[in-house]
Amino acid sequence: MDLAPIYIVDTLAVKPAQQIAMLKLLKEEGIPIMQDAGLELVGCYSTSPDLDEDVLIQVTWKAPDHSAFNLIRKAFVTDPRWWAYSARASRLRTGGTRRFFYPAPMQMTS
Amino acid sequence: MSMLRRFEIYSLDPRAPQAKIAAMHASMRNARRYIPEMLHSAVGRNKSDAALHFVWEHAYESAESYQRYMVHPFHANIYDRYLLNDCPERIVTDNPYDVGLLGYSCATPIYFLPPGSARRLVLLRLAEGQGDFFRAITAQARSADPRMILSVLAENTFATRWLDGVTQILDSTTYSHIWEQGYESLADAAAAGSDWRASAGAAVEKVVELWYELDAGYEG
Repeated sequence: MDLAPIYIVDTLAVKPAQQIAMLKLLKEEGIPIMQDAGLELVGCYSTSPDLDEDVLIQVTWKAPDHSAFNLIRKAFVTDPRWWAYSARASRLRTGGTRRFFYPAPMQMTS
Repeated sequence: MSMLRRFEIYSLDPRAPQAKIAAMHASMRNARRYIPEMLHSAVGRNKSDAALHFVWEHAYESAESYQRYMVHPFHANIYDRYLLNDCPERIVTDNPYDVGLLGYSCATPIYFLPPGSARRLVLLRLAEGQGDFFRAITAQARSADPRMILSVLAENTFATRWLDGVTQILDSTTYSHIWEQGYESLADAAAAGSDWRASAGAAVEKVVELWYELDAGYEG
């Protein structure tokens, strides 16, 4: 399986009341920090806050390959803004995942 | 060729699910199953009073081996998941000791202990120019305690070179030296004590000690 490019999918679970706060934090801090480190923002989507369950905010990033991600990781972990952002984000989250996705090993369209 | 000896030391989040801690433990213990470059991977649960809970120790044959580890997909997919501050599944915490990644270079695996042995790890910030003085103290401590079957004092060169194991990317680190002691049992490691501190005096500016039994994993 070809492991490039990489799509990094962060799924952040928050209480419905924290949806806007998390999106604001992402827009004002998280996304600029990660873009400065070299990640490309592919998209950001949210589930509805009206379902009486945690809201899932899904942020998808793209990097060329794992060698590039290694340098991107170095850039963000040595950025003091990332430490402050991460602490704030962790207080808003109730859970979630980060998963790395790669091009599916078969053509999905005819 | 110069080997790289490396430690990652963590405090665990008290809210972390046991299943996730067990999964991290297994992935690090058996690191070589996933990343062939990793040598002598072992984990340990710290038994000292320091609020540091988990040690992952291992080595690499060379800086090139380490660089392959750094770009290995398993590293980003699995280890980062448990460790990186912005990962939702992070199960470690920042710690007041400023302890994280440490290590040193060596020509041969001078650190090696068989599985089931115990390690006593002394992280030190030595006063400027006190390396030789403290080395003599470690030699004296070893000769005074026949239970100490291994003693390695090394400069912590890895903390400031963690990107590729070679290039210095940080100006300084909290702990200037690492003293690895080896014992046949955890009881011996715990009983070893720190009498050497009296001799060291002001040469030691900061110290934290951990001891743990080696839970070594897959070696291929």
